[in-house]
Parts: sequence; C-alpha cells; structure tokens
Amino acid sequence: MNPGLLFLARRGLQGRGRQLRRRVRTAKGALSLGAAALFFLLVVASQLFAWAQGAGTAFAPDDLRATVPPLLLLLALLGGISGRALYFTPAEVDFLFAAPVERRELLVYNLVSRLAIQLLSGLWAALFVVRHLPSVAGGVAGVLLGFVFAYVTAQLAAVAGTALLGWLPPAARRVLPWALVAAGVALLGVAAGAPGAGPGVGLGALARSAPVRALSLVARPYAELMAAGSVAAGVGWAAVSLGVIAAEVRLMMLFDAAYAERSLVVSRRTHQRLERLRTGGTALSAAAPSRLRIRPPPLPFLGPAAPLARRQLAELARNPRAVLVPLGLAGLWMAGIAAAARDDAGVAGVLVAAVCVVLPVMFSPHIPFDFRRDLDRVAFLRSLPLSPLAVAAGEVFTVALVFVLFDYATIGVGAATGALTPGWAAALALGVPPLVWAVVSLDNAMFLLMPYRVGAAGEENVQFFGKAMLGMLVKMAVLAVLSGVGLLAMWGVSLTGLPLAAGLAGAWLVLAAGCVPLTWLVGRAFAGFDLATDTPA
Amino acid sequence: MSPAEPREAVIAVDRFSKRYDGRLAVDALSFSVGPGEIVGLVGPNGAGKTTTLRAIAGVHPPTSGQIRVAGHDVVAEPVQAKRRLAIIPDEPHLFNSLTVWEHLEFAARVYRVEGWEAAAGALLQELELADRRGSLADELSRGMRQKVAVACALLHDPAALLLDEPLTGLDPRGIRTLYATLRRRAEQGAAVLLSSHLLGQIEGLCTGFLIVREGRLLFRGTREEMRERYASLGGGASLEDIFFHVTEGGEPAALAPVP
Repeated sequence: MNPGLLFLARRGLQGRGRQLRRRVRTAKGALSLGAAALFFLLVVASQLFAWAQGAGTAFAPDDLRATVPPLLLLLALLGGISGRALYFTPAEVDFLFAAPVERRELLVYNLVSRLAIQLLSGLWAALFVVRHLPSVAGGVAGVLLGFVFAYVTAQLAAVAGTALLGWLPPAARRVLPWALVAAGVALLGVAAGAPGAGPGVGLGALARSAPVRALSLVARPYAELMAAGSVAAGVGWAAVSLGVIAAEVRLMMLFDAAYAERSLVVSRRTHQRLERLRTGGTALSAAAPSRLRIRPPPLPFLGPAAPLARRQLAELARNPRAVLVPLGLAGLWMAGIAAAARDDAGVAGVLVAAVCVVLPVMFSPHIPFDFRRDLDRVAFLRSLPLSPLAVAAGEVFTVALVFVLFDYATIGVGAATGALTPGWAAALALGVPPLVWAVVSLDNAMFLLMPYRVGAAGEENVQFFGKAMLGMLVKMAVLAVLSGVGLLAMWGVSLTGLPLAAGLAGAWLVLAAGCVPLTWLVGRAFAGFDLATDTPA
Repeated sequence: MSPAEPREAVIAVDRFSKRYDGRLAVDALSFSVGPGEIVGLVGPNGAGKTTTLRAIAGVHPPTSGQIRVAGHDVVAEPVQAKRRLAIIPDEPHLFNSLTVWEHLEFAARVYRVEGWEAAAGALLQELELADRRGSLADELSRGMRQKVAVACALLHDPAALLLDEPLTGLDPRGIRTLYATLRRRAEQGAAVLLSSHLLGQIEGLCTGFLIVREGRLLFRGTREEMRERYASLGGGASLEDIFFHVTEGGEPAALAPVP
C-alpha cells in the first residue's frame, strides 16, 4: 500500500485520540466526555449485572447457525446496495482521488481505516449478546469478525455491483433495481407462505430453508464461532472466518472495478445525510421544503421571543413531512388505546399516560425545529438583542407545541373512548405542557452542550446511537424527578385538607417551576456554545 | 496557451466530453496549457469548470475524448499522470485529526517526496503558516485551510497545477500571497489552470483565458486576442464586460464556439 495511505490510516487513529485529549481540557468537553463515559459504564454494569444474575436465555447453537449467516449477509447486502462501503470523507475525496495511488490501494485503505470502528461496533454489540452465547471468547470473536465480514462483504458487493453495472447495457441497468425489488418481494412471499403461523415463524422457516442456508454458507463460520463451546473449536472457526475475509479482499482486488464515480456519488450523498444528522433531524425533517407558504399568525405571548418561535413555526409549516413518523405512530397508538378501552378502561388510561410521555421523549429528535435546525445560525441568534433565556424560549416553543398537540389528541381519544374520566383527562392535560417543555428543553441543552461531529464512516452511527441513548436516559430521569416532586406537592396539599383541584394546581406549579431552570440551562448552553469549534466557518 | 503545439503542452485536453445521467456537462472541449502559462477557465455556474478540472485530475473519467498530463493519459496511466499534477478544490476539506505539519508529511508520503521537510518549511513560510504548523485542521480559519491545501499541493512540485475557484475565502493579503506563489511556480515551468466565475478577479494573473458556457468553449486566447475579437464592444469595454457579453449570450452561440 502507498506509504501515504498507511500514514493516514495510522495517524488518523492517533489523531482522534489527540482530539479527545484536547477536548477534555475544556470544561464542556470534559463534561460531555464524562457523561458519555458514565453512560457507557452504566450500560456495561447493567449487562454484567444481568449476566451475574443469569438473566436471559441462552441461544441454541442450531438457532445461531440458522439465523446469524442470513442476517450477516442481509446486512452486507444492504450496505452493498446503498454503496455505503464505498464512502470516503470529503477530505479523503479531495486528497486521495487525485493522488497517485491505485484504486485497489484506496479500497484497502478504506477497509483498514474503518476497521477500528467496525471492531468497536462489534464490541458494543457483543456486550449485549455474549451472555447468551456458550463461551465468552468465541462469542466476542464471532461478533467482532462478523462485523468485519459484513463490512468487507458490503464493499465487495458494491465493487462487484459497480463492475456489473458497467458491463450491462443501459436498458438492463434501468430494469435491475426493479428486478431486485421483485426478488425481495418474492422472498418475502416465500417467507409468508412458509408453514407455521405468523411472519416471525415464516421468516424463521425461510432462514432454515435449503436455498437460504446454501446462499449464506459463506457467513456460516461466524455463527459456528459464536456457537463454539470449546477453545479448540473456536480457534478453528476463527481461522476459517479470517480466511473468508482474506479471500473476499483478494477477490475484490481481482475485480479492480472503476468505482470512483459511484464512490463520489455515494460519498456526496452520505456526507449530505451526515450533515443533516448533525442537526439532529431525520431525512424527512431535512427534506427540501414544500411549496406551502403558510404564514403563522403573530404570537401574542412569549414577548421578545415570539418572532423566533413564529419563524420556527413557519419552517415547520413548510416542512410538514417532519411530523409524519410521529404522527403515524401516534395514530397507531391512539387506535391501540381505543381497542384497549373496550376491554379494560384502567389499562387504556395507563396507556394514554404512557403515550403522553413516550411520544415527546422518543420523537422530539425527529422534529428538530429548534436550536438543532439553527445550528448554522447560532452566530445570527447571538447577534439578536435578546437575552439567552428569551432565545431559548423562542427556540423551544415550536417543538413543545407540536408534542402538546399530539398529547392532547391522545388525551382526547382517551376521554372519548372512556379510557380516562373527565377529571383525569383534565389533570393530564394540565401536566402535559410543562412535561413536554422539559423534554424539549433537555434535548436542546444536550444538543448545544454536545453537538454531533461528523467523522469517518460508521463513526457517527456509534456517536448518534450513544447520544440518543444517553439523551433518552437523561430525559426519563429528569421526568421521573419532576413527576415525583409534582406528586409530592399534590400529596402535601392534600394533607392540608384542601380539595383535589388545589393539589393538582400545586403539582402543576411545581412542574412549571421546574421548566424555568431547564430553559435557563438551554440559554446558558446557547450562550456558551463555542462557534469556533462547533460550527467552524 | 498553445493549442497548436500539443507536444509541448503539460495539460492537453482533446475533445473531452462528460455526461452525467444523460445530461451533457462538457461538450467536446479542446485546449492545452503549456509550461509557464497561467490559464483562467472562466464561466458562469454550471459551465462545466469543476467537471473539467476534476477530469484532468483523473477524478472523473471522461465519457469521450482524451486528456493527457505531462504526456500521460489520465485514463490509461492514471498514477503516472497524477504524480505530475495537483488539484486544489474550491472547498478546502482537511483531515480534522491531523495537524498542518502532518498534512504536509502525508502529502510527502503519498507523492513519495524525499527530504520534504525543508521544502515544507519553506512553503509554510511562503504561505504565512509557519506559526500554525502544530494546529489541528479544525482549529484553522477557512482561509488558512485553503493555504494548507495549497501547500500540500505544491510540495511535490507538480508540472500541472489545477485550482478550482482558489480565491474563495481568502482575504486580500491571502490573494496576493497566492498570486505570487502561482506566478513563481509558473516561472519555474509549471502549467497553471485555474477556474473562476469572476474574470475580473483573475485577469491580472492569467496569461490566457478559456471562456466556457454550458460545457462549450466560447473563447480561447490571450487578453489581447480577447480585446481584438470583441473590438465591436468598444474600446472602453473591460474584460468583465466582454465576459458578460460572451457568457450571457450576447454573441450568437453558432458563432461563438471556438473551431
């Protein structure tokens, strides 16, 4: 391999360590890294605890042999079709595509430089599954090598696909995606038609069918390694697993397809997606604005923050697709509540309360019409003659309003179907705004304190997943504390002999008061946001 | 610019066309750039400037036509051709985890430059980056990142230097430094091809011009030849006026393209 590529792969890894060390020297960097480490330790501890308790069932070796190979191949195939394994960062495109290096060398560089992130991803996955496997060593090695196999196979599939497309006449190229879709549908049809009840059993039968077993034979060594009960068997299968990866790399070198153009397209598209993810949204929330030109009315409240909130409302009105996923799921849950209310009103009532909490906690990141969408406008927001608290309130308002409306619709369904008594519906409706505001404030504060950074392929997945999990944990913890304090306040008021309404009012006051420091926290995070580091010009 | 002397040309583009998904981005472009020449490739957005530069750099394979750099076909002998060229993109993307000095070390290793440290030190001095050699890329301003990209590109002393909108993000001092660097390289025998959508910004630097619109070459020649050809616009017409006249369809397309 070209010495420059070797240098880059090696120094890139060391450089990331150096970036971390530099970041930890700042209070904010230390705080975010500390929080990430704490979260990681919590997850590790929970898994170790579950292991010590013997929780969870052991996977049967035959099940592993049946399900792991097709799963790995499916992962690889998806990676290959999306072309993700041919992704190069913009810096790599600029420096390496015009450099005097063979395209084979570039592929090897891609594999080597992404190896660490594949191994880290594998290690993370192994943490959750290894206690269900016969041996720790075999399990960890199997999962790690399985991740590497999936990436190498995806790259091989992408390169082979590029070569194939190059040979095919244009008409066949146009038909190919439809042929693949038809093959996928046919496979699903076979799964649905397999003996047994339900799609799960059907897919299980498909995985055990002779054609799928034959097709996924190449991934079988990884399943065998995971299922290995002895060191001797494990070593043998590990050698075979490594051999498969080496053979795939060799095959890829033999192909020597001209993948540069496909790689450029994939890299540009992937980079755009990563940039969108940087703002915390999804593909739907970051899609091109619709032609709708709805002008929300001026807001008579929020004082100086009203124009900011109105602007975000206008952006949301012009990007209505952002609410599709939460709206769809809310609709499904409401139908579930209505069905449950026919059998047991009490259970349905609990469901309504749960949905009111889960909706904003889970889906607030899907509707980032707040600081997350304004990441590149922080400098402009700072220049406005507004206090950080006012800017925070203006930015948080729109997303909070959306989820309050979602929750009110859920409560409405609950009340209409008898799942909630009018009193409980009113109490829940009262509690929803401060709870939702708290959730959205926390999302914004965490985003401003720990903005996403886009790095090499795969790196961001770990980062986004980790931060999403951490965010969920923090939101649930804060909501639990706020709700607990609210209930305590209600109980305290009831001890004085005042009516329930007074208790509810007391609880609401406590919840609303809890939102003030959270909004202040968002304002502080906004004021302390480091423009030079987080949104470099 | 010497279209009639392809043997001497460092960059020789012969009937180069590029098609993306059926859309013709560049249409049978032919020109050459000789040693010591600084040629401005000018045209409005979407004229095919970046595609042309990237094709010369071997990033985009031509749909048809031939491109040679220092005598090497960029498709048949990509490594040999790329060893003799350097491209500086419009948006300077650097490796965030590497320092300025490490970028130069990386470039030296990729292009297998022996004893690169002295040349790298001199380049950092020349581009006023000497005090930032230990800075990580994400600690630099846009202009500084642009200069790092220039330093990396010049380290292996390329015969052909391609710059895509090189002035974007540079302050006046940075522009003057870059101009001086490019002139020096041209005097040492490099062929320089730089793109811009603003003729006025590069007219003082370039020895020749290529004006393109919608992938087609509309004018090729020196400043004097341009004035002579568009004398009908009046003696007071600036190069900028001529540029707008040509690129905004002031001249019938059937007459405008260079034979």
